[in-house]
Amino acid sequence: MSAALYEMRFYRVADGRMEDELARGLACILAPAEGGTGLFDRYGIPRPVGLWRVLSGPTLPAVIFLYRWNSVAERAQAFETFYDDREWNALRASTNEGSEIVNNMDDILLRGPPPDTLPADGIYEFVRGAAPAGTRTVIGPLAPLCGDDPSDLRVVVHEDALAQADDARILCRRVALGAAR
Amino acid sequence: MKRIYRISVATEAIAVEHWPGWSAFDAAPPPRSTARADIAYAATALDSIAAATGLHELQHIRVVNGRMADVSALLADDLRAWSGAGADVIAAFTVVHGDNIPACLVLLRWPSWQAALAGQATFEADASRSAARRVNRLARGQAAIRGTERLFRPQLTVTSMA
Repeated sequence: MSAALYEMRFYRVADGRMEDELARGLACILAPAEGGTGLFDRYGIPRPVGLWRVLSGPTLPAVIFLYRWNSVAERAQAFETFYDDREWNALRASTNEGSEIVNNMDDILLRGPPPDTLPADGIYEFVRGAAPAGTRTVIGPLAPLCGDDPSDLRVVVHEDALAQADDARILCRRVALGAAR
Repeated sequence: MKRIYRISVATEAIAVEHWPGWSAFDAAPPPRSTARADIAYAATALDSIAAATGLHELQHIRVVNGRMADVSALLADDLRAWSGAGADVIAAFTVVHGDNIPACLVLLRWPSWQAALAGQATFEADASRSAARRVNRLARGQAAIRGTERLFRPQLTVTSMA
């Protein structure tokens, strides 16, 4: 089985703007019938494999979108034409309200196995290296093609109660598409 | 068609791998990264890059979100100033995939550490470069650059991947 191609977009959101970011992201992802604009559908940007609101870690607030692509060429064509879209640029400007919602982001390409079914609830963690005890890997291990950390990325779900988290761990809650809160 | 570059910073070298476009990237994808790496487009005209030994520098210029156009304009002044400060300007890139973006990369070669040290002072004293930044900062109410990281390595390797 050939490896799947993923794009992890880790957005560091401006203080107090998380609701704005989730609302704008979902507006792009969802079809008009679902309350969105259908912008991503228009450019062939797939529904994300998952969307997570980060609960702990060094750079909050933050949100993670994980996409799966057939090729990097397809991804480049889709996002680069989307960025030129007049409706997107108007939406971006109006929702920014004079200052960017997103401070900066990580955009990492990775390869690895297809995802397992993602539980709707539970504590997720984005882990570099080995999976912690008491967790189940639902995505990965994913080998990065870029980024500052060349170690494998795993998305895990905690199956046991989490006794203690050190400050650097990226613990998350999955956000259901169409239900940002 | 834009060329694609993966620029890695390993212990002993700055490594550049390049493809003629994304389709070529898909056809001959890079191996997993083994060091920190960014995937980028050239930000300035770039015919070719040659492997070389000698002191090389990779700058990571962290751009304020929404201000890449401003930085692209400032970059031309920067590259001229680095050249005037004694560096060989090899290339500049706009990062597409990597950590902590928006960001640009600048790749320089220095004749020596002493030249790099002296060049930094010359660069920072460049009046027209500073004036351009000041005009941009005052017009927009905020500097366009969040900060810059400078990494030095004794070698540049270059690999054509297609």
